Amino acid sequence: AKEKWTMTTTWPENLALIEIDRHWVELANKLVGDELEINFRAGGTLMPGTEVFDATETGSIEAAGDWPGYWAGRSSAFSPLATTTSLFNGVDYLNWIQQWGGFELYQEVYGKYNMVYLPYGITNNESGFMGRTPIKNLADLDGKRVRLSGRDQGRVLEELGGSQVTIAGGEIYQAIERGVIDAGEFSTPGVDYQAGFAEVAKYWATPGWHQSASVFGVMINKDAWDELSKETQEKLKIAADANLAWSLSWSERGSTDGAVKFEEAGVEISQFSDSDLARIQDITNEVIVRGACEDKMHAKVYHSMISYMENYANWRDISAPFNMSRTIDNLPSLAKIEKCL
Amino acid sequence: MNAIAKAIDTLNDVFGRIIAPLIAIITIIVLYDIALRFFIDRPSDWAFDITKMLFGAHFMLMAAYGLRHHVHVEVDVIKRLLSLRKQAILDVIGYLIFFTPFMWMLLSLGWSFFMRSFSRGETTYGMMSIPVYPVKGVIFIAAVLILLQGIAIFIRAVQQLREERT
Amino acid sequence: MNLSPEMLTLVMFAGLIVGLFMGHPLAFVLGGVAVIGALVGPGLNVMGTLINNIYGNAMDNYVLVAIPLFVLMARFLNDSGVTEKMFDAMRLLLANLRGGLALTVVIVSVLLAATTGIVGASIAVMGMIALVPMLKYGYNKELSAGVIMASGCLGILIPPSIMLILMASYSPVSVGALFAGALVPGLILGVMYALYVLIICYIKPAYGPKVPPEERAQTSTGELLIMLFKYVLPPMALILGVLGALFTGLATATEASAIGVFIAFLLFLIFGDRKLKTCYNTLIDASKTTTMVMLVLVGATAFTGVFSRGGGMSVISDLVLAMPGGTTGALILMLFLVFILGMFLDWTGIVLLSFPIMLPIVEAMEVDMLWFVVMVAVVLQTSFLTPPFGYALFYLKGVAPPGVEIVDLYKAVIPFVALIILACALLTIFLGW
Ligand code: NA
Ligand code: NA
Repeated sequence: AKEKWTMTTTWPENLALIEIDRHWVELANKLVGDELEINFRAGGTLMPGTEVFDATETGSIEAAGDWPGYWAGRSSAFSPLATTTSLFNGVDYLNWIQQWGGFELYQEVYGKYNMVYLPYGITNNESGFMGRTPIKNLADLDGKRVRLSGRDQGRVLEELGGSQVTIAGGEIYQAIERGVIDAGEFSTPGVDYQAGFAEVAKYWATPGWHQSASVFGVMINKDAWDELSKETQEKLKIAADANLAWSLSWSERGSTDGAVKFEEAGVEISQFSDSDLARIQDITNEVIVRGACEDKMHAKVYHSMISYMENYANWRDISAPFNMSRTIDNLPSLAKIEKCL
Repeated sequence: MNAIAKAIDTLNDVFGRIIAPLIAIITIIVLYDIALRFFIDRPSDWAFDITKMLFGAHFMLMAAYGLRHHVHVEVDVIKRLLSLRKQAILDVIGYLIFFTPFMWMLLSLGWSFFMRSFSRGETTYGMMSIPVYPVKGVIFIAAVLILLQGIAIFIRAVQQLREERT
Repeated sequence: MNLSPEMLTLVMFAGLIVGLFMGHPLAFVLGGVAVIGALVGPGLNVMGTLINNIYGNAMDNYVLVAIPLFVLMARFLNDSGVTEKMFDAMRLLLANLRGGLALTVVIVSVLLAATTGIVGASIAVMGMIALVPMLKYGYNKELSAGVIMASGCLGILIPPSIMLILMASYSPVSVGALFAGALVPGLILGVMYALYVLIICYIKPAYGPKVPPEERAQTSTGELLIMLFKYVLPPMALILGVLGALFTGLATATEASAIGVFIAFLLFLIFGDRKLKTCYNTLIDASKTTTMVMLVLVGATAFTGVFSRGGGMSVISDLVLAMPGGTTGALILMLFLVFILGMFLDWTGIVLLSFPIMLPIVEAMEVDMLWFVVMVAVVLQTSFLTPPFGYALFYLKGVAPPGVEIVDLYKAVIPFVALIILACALLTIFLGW
């Protein structure tokens, strides 16, 4: 091969999410032929997962799979590129990325760090809260300690009367087991089951409103990208597009199998009521506007996302119940976000 | 030359004595966080990140002080059997071959690592935005202090060699 | 230059050994070899990852906060004078038992192992509190050091353990199953160390001398009871306090170590000299030990990063795949490789490098995965103990009194490494695949 890339990811070998990266690498290596060979290494083997952004930016490695939310400390705009609290579902992300201008925004945000970004993975709704204390409605959540990541997520939780606990990833399992936290969230049911949560959790509260859908992708060092021919670049994009569709159904399959296993393990599942979810939506809408207005780029991304939601509603709502996304008209105020641009 | 070595010793002594108490502050912060969670069910928004940062800063900034006081692990099985002159030769070689490249790497890459964070005002992404670049900058500062102490050791080894000759 | 992975592996390991025996500080040997390895191997652009590894693995790592905290706890305990008197009291209590103090060390270490999952922490703690009293009472230097290091390593086998959590995350085995699976060999090893102590001291009475009857006679039973009450109870209360915080869900494993510091500080206020100057010197001493332990980790993480990037992993995998002898041969070879790697790399590197290669092989051979992972965990104990690169050796050397040389420690671990290998054999025979 003409070019040899070293690629790693934020995910360690046995976190199921690494399959998304691996599937893309396989597709890409098959498609590109002789011009490029991607040597993929599991997360943690070359450097800790938290450092792959810096290593790709400097060109120490050519590419790395990621979840954009990990980089929100550099620019909060990375946060909505990764997930939303109670807004997008998986199909919304797919629509927005491919037809409503999302892809370009990824390039704009990552481009500031000398990187090209190919979104190549979407997972739909995360599990929700799991723990040893029953949390069946918002009243139960009051005064509870919940392991939850993200700033918007934490703010919504605080408004609901719970408090956000930060715990090292490796300590979540034991923190649930010993009751250091009342509940915690990690990922989708398939991933959570593999992390052993069914062994320690008794209760599981769905839906995972804190992370209604997630996007994964590959960061590519711009200099390495520019070394490729137009044709090879095109093939990597094709592989990414194919991977997007694959990942959606792959993760839904995994969530289904995971949910069945949690049920078989005797974990008691409860769902937040419609009125609880409506209240969460009201709070979320305020929190999103507040967060977006703290940073111009952040506001720009949300402006695009909410504009899509409003536009898509024209067709989505009249095609119900055969529509692909949630029919929702209670959105964060587009006008307020516009003022922050 | 000796005056330079002595000045470096003093600098690292003073600095180490200022940094050491951080270990107590780390303890207090962790206890404070546990207490908040236990008594009022409201853990602190900053304790986790600040604890981690102080920990990283503490042991890195103590490294030069540690070198000054010979606390870093070394295997002196063979070295102890040698004459002072030969020991000094080993020191000179060791500091040139291993120490220098490592410090060069820490200084040059540590600086750009810090600048990448500083120029973007990188923060933590929790309920509170805590700047991350100070602790990233610690690598560079620690490297400067360690390098200085290495120079002091190097000066003394060279002096040892000279004295033996005369 | 662009050395082949085989050559790079050779050059890096040779560089380590040369630098180590030159007597250069280990942290800088590891770091220096990493930089040189990057230059002659995968190339200059790999160098950036050295900083990423140092920052991400060593500095930005909440779980490691347990190290300074446990070290500080041990220092305050020492300053309180309680531990030294505890060993005095235990010695009188076990006056007629040869090796009584060494036995005490094993028991305290097993309890301590249940409070922390970081080896550096438990070795430093036991080295600080137990080595001086043992030497004072004429215990054999090598037996004393060996028992401290070997029992100190049980911290990673007896839950909680950061190593087991990492191993679980890199294998299909769940954390719970691995915790339960490793507890058994952990306790078995504890019992084996205790038996070894009793037997060797029975054969060679000078290794762990009894208390002379005249000396024992100076303390009445009543006085001894008071001593036990006063000096054995407080350290036990400390351990139970930390364990309690952990098991009642008051704190996570890392946080529990801060509760340990708090209780040790109270003991210092009750039994110690209560001087601000003592306190300040304690902070300095604890900081020195912390930077000693952590800087080795800084070097090691830089080294492992370059070794892995340079393809050292594929060198190992080729070795395994080339092995004749079927399932048994492959299993023995894989465990042997873990043992050999343990002489050079730290456990994080070994797990990250070897699991992705070995576990698929194990799965294909239809060997019980839990059994294999537990066996690797047991064998990894030796990685801390085997010369030339045993971090337990270095950590103990760092806190040992003058007169205890690294060569003494190299000798000291031999019987204990043999015991671990014996335990592996037993585990294979009785719980094998
Ligand atoms: Na443990
Ligand atoms: Na070793």
